[in-house]
Amino acid sequence: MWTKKGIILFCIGFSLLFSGLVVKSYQVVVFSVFIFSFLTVGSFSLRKPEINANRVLTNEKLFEDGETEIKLRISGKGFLEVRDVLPKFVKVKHGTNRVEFFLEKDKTYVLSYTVECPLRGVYSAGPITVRNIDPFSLFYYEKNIDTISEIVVFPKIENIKEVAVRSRTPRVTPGVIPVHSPGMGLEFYSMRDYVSGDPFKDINWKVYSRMRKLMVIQRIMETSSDITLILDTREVSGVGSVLSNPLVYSARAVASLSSFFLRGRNNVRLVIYGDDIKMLAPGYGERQLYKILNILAGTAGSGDMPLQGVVNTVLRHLTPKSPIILVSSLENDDSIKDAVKEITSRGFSLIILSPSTPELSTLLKLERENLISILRGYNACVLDWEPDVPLSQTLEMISLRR
Amino acid sequence: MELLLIPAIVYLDYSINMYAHLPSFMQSLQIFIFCFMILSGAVAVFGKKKVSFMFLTIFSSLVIFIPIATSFYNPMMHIKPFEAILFSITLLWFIELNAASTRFSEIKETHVVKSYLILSPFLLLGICLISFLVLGFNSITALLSPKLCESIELNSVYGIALSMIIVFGVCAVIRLGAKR
Repeated sequence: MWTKKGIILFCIGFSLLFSGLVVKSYQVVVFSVFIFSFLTVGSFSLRKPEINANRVLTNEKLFEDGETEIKLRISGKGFLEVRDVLPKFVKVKHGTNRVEFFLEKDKTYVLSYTVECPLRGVYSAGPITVRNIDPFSLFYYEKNIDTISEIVVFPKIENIKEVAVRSRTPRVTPGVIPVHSPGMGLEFYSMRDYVSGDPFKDINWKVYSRMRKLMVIQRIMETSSDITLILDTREVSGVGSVLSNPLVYSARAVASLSSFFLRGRNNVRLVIYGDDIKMLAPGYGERQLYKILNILAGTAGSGDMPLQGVVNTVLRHLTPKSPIILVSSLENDDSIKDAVKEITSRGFSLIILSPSTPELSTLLKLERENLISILRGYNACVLDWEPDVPLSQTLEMISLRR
Repeated sequence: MELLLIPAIVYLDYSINMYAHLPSFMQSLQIFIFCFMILSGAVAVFGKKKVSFMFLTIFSSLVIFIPIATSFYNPMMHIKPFEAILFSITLLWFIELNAASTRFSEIKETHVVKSYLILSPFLLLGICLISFLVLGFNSITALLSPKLCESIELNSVYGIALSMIIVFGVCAVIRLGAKR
């Protein structure tokens, strides 16, 4: 293949030869001879490459804004130009993914660079494009090495301290594993020294009178059996910029909530609706969190399924009167009022976390506020979440809204 | 390094074309162009990437403009083969070094520059050999038949064009054969 420089030189050489012949200029013709000789030598100095390359990633799975180091090992011979093709939303942070170097026979070149992934998703790094260029950069051979590496970017998890979600019908054995950790509850767990910020009502005054030392009572954490998280991934939820749209924030919220509930050893079920309904069976522990994060990484805004459809399909599988958290932008769904009405009337405790769409017009804002107040009227706890506000701060409103 | 080539190019260009019987306005224009060549050549070496490319184009165009313009007045002007060859080598090398410095300034790999500097003289030798073969092809054929030596066409620029077709045609056939 010809490079740009090669093509330009060929054109110049040809036009010089032509004009030299027309005006009978010996000097110009001789110069054109040298240009063609230059091109000939360049083409003869190029050899078909025998190149091998492989890619190693330090982290194949990472969270949003996370970094991973990519190492390319290239073996071959000659002047090589290597470019590792990266997906659109993966940015090079340190180093470069394109390099030109001279490689001697039986030697290996290691190209190392760091990438940052600001957006959740499943990305494919590769193929590696290797060009063997002649020393004058006039011709090249190109080879695509199909080494594809998958980078899975999970949504960012925010540390949530408390979500006031309680089941109205606690199971005999809450969750699969009994909870032996301190938290909100009734039964005595242990005593510890008073720390500034502890509520006064928790101070054991009898112990204080005996030991002259402030001690606080800790209680066993009360678990909420099965918790269902419903994520709206309809096309409308992806409206906005790529890095800032309701779906991005919803995915982060679901990841954070799942992490919080699974830390508390609850059973978490995930339902995603958009094109169709995808349901992840309830589970607990790290493995369930990993499953949820993997699903969230691969979700994209598509489809237009109404919430009523989800309610009709999913509700019968859920534990009666268990908490449901719906994460949705609440847009373009005429069935939402009926669906919410049905959920709450069946005794489920419903929390709706709604990330507001950026740059809404005044009329749409009013419409949204109106819808939220109607849904609140159906005994649902609706949280209007401005994505700039930390999620934990918004979730604190649950106890106030009840 | 490229800077050293600028005076050489300008001098050679001047020495080849100085014998042309040009009108006075053309002579003064020629002097002006030679002065401008020095300036644009210097900017081509020291200027920023975009500026450098523009001036390199201006410089090369001016260098080529002189022989073309003088040929209009003296079509079969005094041929100076040695100077013409030297001129071609220096000009070609000046353009190549300029392009290479721009290319390697982006790469920032010292090893590449080193390898380039080691390899390029050998390749330059190859360029000269092929060029001499083309330019001397008519002399070789003249050895076969003394009549060819007397041919006016073969000893003119058309003869060079003919030998170019033969030599580079053979090179192209060899290259294509090697590819397969």
